[in-house]
Amino acid sequence: MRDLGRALLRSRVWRSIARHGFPDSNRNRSLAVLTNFFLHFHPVKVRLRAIRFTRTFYLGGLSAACFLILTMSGVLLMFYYRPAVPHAYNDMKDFAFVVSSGTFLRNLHRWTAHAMVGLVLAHMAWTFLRGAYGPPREFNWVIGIGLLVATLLLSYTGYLLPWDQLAYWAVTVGTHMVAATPLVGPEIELLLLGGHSINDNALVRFYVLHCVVLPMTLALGVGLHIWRLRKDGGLHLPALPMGEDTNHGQDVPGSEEGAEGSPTDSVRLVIPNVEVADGAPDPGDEPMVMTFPHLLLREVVAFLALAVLLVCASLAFDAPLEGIADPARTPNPAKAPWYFLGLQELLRYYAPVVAGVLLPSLCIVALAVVPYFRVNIERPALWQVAPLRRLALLWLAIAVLTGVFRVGATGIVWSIVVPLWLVGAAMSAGALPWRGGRLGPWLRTRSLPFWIFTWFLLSAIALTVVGALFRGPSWRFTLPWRDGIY
Amino acid sequence: MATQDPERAVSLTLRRLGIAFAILSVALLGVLAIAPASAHFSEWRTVQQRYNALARRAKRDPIEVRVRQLSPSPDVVDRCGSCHLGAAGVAPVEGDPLFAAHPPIPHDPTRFGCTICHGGQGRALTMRAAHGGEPNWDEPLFPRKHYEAGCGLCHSGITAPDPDLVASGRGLFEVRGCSACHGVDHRDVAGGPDLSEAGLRGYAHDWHDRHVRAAAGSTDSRWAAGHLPLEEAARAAIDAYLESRVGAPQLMAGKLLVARLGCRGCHRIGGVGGDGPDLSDIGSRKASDLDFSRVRGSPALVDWLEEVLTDPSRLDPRSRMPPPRLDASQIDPLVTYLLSLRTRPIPVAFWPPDRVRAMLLGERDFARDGHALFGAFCSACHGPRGEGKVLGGLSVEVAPAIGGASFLAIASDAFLRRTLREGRPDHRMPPWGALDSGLRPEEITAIIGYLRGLHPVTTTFAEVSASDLDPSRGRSVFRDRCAPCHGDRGEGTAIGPPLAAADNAVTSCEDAIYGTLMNGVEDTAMGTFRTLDARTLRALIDVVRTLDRAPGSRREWRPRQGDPASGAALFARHCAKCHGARPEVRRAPAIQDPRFVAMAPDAFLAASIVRRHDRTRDDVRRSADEISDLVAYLRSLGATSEVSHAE
Repeated sequence: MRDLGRALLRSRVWRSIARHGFPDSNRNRSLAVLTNFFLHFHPVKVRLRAIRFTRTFYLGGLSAACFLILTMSGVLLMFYYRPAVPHAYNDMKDFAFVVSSGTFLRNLHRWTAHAMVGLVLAHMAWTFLRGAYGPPREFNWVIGIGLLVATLLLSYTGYLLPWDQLAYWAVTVGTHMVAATPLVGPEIELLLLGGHSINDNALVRFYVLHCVVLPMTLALGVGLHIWRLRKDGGLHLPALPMGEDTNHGQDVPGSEEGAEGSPTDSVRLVIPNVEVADGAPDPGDEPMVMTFPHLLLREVVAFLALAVLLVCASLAFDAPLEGIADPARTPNPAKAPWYFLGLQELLRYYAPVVAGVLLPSLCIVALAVVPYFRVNIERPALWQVAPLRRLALLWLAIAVLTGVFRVGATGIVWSIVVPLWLVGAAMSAGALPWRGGRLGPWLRTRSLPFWIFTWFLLSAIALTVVGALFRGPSWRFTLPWRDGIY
Repeated sequence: MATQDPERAVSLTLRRLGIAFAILSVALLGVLAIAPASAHFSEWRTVQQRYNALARRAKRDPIEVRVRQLSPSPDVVDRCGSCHLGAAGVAPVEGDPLFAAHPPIPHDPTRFGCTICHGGQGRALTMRAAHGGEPNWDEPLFPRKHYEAGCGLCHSGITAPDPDLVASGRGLFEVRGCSACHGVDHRDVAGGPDLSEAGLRGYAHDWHDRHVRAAAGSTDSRWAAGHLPLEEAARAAIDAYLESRVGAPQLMAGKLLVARLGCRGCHRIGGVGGDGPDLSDIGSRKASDLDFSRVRGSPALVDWLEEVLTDPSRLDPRSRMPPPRLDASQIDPLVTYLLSLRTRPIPVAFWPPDRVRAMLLGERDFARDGHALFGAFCSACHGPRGEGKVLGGLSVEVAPAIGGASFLAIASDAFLRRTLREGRPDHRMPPWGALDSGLRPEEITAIIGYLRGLHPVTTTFAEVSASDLDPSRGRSVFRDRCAPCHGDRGEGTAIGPPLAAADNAVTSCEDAIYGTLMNGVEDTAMGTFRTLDARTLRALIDVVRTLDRAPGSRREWRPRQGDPASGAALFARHCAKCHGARPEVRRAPAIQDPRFVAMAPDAFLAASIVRRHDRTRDDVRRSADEISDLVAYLRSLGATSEVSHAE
């Protein structure tokens, strides 16, 4: 039996398909990765540290896996779906009742989309917190921000397609925010909707964007993103602290940002059959393993685990479908998809032009330019020089920011201000001459961008949670355990 | 890792990963198989397999297990037949009502589908979703006892005849033996043709003459029970009853009840009705929009409607709807009718003739004679014969007794028409004109005609001419009834014209005087005097006819510029006692009201001051200047109000 298998692998037909033998030797394993179109993004050998699950939680790879699942389930859904009123809604009903596994496919597509938005956001946050956006990866980080926007747009355009009340009004909230852009807002809305209200034209536009334009953009962008990652020396890893890696490089001040892959590493990388060693100062000390099977197996197992999870979720929970879209009946409250609820929550406080245009664009721009302003990322650490003066400056800045967020708002934006104070408190704790075990030094060594990003992250989470759970009819404050979730 | 051999650790991890890979691969294949596999245990497959089991037992051919759907139009897909196999044309099998044949219906299911009549979600294939149990589905299946509501969705234009006439026709149909040969409401009777759908399909309108002829030449004992021939009124009642037999007795009963109870006095249906909540779309009210906190029973529209019809104030304490006081047998027909009220668009290709007539040709769904119109639109407030009514609710309001003789005697047709068309501001009477509440001019005329007909002329001119003459009676009646406007000697005043034959074309002729007394004069203060008996009329006519031309007839009050200040003093001394500004001590009309002053011409004011106070007439005559002053004072009230309006 085994001989028969070997014979098959040696046959001309097989060799015409796969040009390497059975991957049981390192040579064949290397060839399996190098000569395979789908695998050649990988190096032949990887550092053992880089493939550890807790290093990245495979967030980027799992985002791509979600995209794969979404593409497959989406294509299946496209076989039945017609982007026209009222067929669109009727087709949702047909998915529920007559299409084989239609409910399951729709659920899978829906829940995977939510998972992808969450994973991409988590991927961004983790990449930032690990400081992996530094040179030479700055532009890859910018591409990543673009991919995040594309993911959000993909999810948002897909939201309209079922043409039910939920879809219609969630998209209405979004387009009204877009329309608040000064000068060009109405034109952008017209371009997006193909009219002045959400109707057949808007549905076709959203359909084309969702099924053709944005997926192709995203696929290209993901290719570029991964390709650049390889060119920039693979995963960013903290330098090995003098031959031992038990500390994960975290406890050593300044070590995290100290060692970026040098351009010469990249040059070495692209040459096949050369010992791959990127990032580490001394390649000889770094434990390496073959990509096949060590990395591939991990990837496959992670993908399988995610797929099993999503399939189970799709079997257990049905995607929501409300009554057919009715422009005459506005639900109260009309909520956007969850990832835009933070913005909608801001609308409670600010004019649409601030909450819907200014703040989100500022956030995106700030995220995109972060790698080019390397404030206090290199030594010395934040509190090493004149800690008292810096502390005073910090609280002055916090007071000013608290005031800035009150300007033009209808009330104090607690979801932004409280995280600001918390972050300030945590920073101050690091500045004080306090030796609290491991926590004290850890706080002390965080950089300024880390704190700003933490504040941004906490604010976004707080806004989204409040918008999703604590807002009821007319956007009044409600308690979910008392009044239920709207 | 540092303590172990790194090579071994790596290979151990690899082995664990391999095991995880194996388990997860199998798990993924397993969970992926669940969705396609569960389709084979769906509700409708189980039902069709049960049919096949029963069919085999009954030695019938089993059917192919598949979705059975009807698609009468591209947007409508009804898959009801996947479970309701009997209705889908599959050979009926004993043992399950699902497999019994559909009762005979006039509509071809392949052309109309199921949900167009029954409601529910046609695309669904589970019972809960198909019967409308999903919260997102707005048109649940009509409950069994209200299934006739489905007929009313399309047949919305069927005219409901006068409900009182239908009720009497129903009685006559039984009493006069029609029901011995004819079945109605799908009751099976041998003999004559079935009349269950006579109103919809039409019937021979010369049925009476035909029956009389047939009865004459027949020896069948059943003809004897018919008591032929019938009088005209009975024939009209039976005609109305036949018109109301449209094959949906409960729906028609509801429609007739709405007309009899006068619901449309407040509620608008299809653009016609009062200014209360519009019921045109009540049948598609979404359960999610209704408050069920005080409703007994399930949270469905049907239960909500039943609760409203039992006691509206239970649901909403602020409701102005009077308790309908219905008995239990009336609620179901009303609910059936209300459920049928939907504005859901129906493709024109499906419109029945009655809908075409109603929607495109303007035919009404209510009877248009005065009695029926008054019953449908006025009786809820003014009482069935205009007796007047105290309307309940938080604020007690009184609907005037517009059917009373004294009101109708002075209310001119023009006044009634204007009130009907424009309503009464600050009162519950809404405007009923075509633009407001949808009544057409000819319908308003019919209502006025009905009101006029409530007190018909009972004394003919011949009776008047034939009665004895009693001059003293004539003079006293003239003093009481005519002199206030026409003057003591018929010389005429600012209100009434002179009556002497020399001054008046009418009074030279006795039957013209009679006619004026009976019918009044349109648009003047001259009302009708139909309650006078023949002798009184004879005497009165005689007095009027023999009036001499009075010297100074139509004594003219010459307008003169008065002094408002002295008028104010006069008003305070002589008039304010009764016409004062404070409403609680006011005993006479509020003539200081600027709105009144603005309407009244000077001549009317002056004449009123003179005529209505005959005890002070001598004083007034002495002080004609004072009249001018009073008029000037009242006029100044009107002027100030205009200024204040302008501000």
